[in-house]
Amino acid sequence: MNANETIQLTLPNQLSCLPTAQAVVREAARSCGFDDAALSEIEVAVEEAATNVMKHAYDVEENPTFDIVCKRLAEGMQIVLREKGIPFDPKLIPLYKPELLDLDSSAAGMGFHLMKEMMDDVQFVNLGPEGKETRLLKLFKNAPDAGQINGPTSPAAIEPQVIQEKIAYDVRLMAENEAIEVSKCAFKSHGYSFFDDHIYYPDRLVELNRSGTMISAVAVTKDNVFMGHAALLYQHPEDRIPELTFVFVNVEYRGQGAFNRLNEFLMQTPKKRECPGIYAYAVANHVFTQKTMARYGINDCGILLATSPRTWKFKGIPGDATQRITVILAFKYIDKPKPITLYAPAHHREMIAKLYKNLGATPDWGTPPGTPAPLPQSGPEILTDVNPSESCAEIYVKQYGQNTVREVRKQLRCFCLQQIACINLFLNLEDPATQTMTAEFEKLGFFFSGILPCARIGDTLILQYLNNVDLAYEKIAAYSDVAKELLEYIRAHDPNASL
Amino acid sequence: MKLTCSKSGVACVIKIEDRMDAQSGPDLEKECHRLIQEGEKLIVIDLESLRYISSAGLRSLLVVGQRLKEAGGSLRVCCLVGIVKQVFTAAGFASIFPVFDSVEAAVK
Repeated sequence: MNANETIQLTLPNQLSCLPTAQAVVREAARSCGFDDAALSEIEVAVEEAATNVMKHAYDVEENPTFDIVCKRLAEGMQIVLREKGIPFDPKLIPLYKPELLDLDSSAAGMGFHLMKEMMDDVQFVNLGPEGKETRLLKLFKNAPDAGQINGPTSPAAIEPQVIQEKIAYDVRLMAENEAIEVSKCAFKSHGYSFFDDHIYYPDRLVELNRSGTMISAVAVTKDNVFMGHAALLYQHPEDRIPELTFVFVNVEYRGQGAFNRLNEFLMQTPKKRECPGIYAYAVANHVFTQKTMARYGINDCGILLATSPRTWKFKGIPGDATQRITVILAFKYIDKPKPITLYAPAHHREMIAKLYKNLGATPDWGTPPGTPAPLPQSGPEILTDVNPSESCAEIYVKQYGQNTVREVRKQLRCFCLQQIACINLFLNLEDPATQTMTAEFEKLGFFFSGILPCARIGDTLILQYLNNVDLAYEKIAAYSDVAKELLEYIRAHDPNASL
Repeated sequence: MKLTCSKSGVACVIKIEDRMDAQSGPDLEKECHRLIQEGEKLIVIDLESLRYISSAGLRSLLVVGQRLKEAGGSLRVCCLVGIVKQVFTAAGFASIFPVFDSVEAAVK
């Protein structure tokens, strides 16, 4: 075990499970570096604590469990026995005095006495409705510092060093037998923090690349040692632009410019599908990724508030984990932007124009042939996507029609009833009806989020709806000036922000 | 826990191996109860091969000692080592049972 690592065991409240508990704790302690004498002392203390729980915490007819948690500390190991049995007052434990022991004694309190004798500290903690804990602490004899405790096999000790000198390497398409290296590298660099879990399944990576849905590029040394990866991924069959994603470089090869070359390679690689641009997301609980995207000309065009659960962890990156995660949406044209006429709603036109300018595009702003723009007599065509694990949904108005607002409202209600936290609405800016219909959706509680050119249904205006999400805007980290301005703009239009 | 009984003079020697804990302690009590009922007055517990003992194991020794006392006999302990000696001492049991370094010394 390394410092702050834990081993947790849940056991039935049965005496027959005692050897299991002792064996696990003993091995945990052994892996921390305790000697045989200390292991035996720990084993005794655990038996005393565990039998105390087994005999006294629950009634006979109950069928409960209790937890044992071993935690490696810098100076030793903590063992916590946690149960939700009957309350008890540790002050009522009889005081055991070895010097007063005689053959007629009941030896009451001997177990607690031995716990204290064998360990460096014993505490009983009442957690109220959450139950009780018996906390045992065993210190190393010569309490070494954390570095010594980690020993030669700790990750910190074997963490590869960044190669300082520049090395020669190649960037090319991923070979199928390299998919496993890609998955491993994803885990090593990001843990399980990628929202899209395709990256953790090598067989899926192979299939996606075969079909052209994904284009994986790898950087490899001249000896063919894997260095890093980046990919373009089309999320939907009808997508016109892929997402730049799954970008990571093994620690020792950082600083070699691999991301830049992977990025350039992906831009230039012939694609089986059209690719007028790429987009990418950067989380906004820190600015590291946003800075990287800006460096490579992938510029901000939207902010999607609270799209992912706050429980997502970002390995090695500190960040706020107290609210759902917001992402910055960024875009880069691969081809020169084609002349296009867009129908932005008048009250957002200035901000939309700023965002297009930030992307290097200057669309024409059209005026609908009528006011309001005439709608087709047929019903609307609406696409939806929902990602339950992220509690996020998307509604695309592919084609306006009669009762479009009612259909969107119906879909919105459906998602809200499913307790989806974040619902994004994509409206086609190339459709004249968007100019007038946007305000109708805003009456439903949607508010401005940004734009995305060349999207699934055309150049899109993105609105968002937050379903009872508690969001502190001041905790959102925006890096670029445009992102900062956009965040304030969104805040000003968020109907919940002033509540 | 493994129990091996042998006779050495007037003493009955019980060699205990492995562990003596909440699960195995009652086995010693049963065996000693049987011996006491058969009339044994001096029981020597040889702990040389015992590698672990907890308060439950000590309680079993205490129960056996109490029964022997009631029967007019006595319990002796020998060959304490390692954690067994440590626990035995920490609990104060050395003050209620005579402790010997060897079986030979204990049975005299």
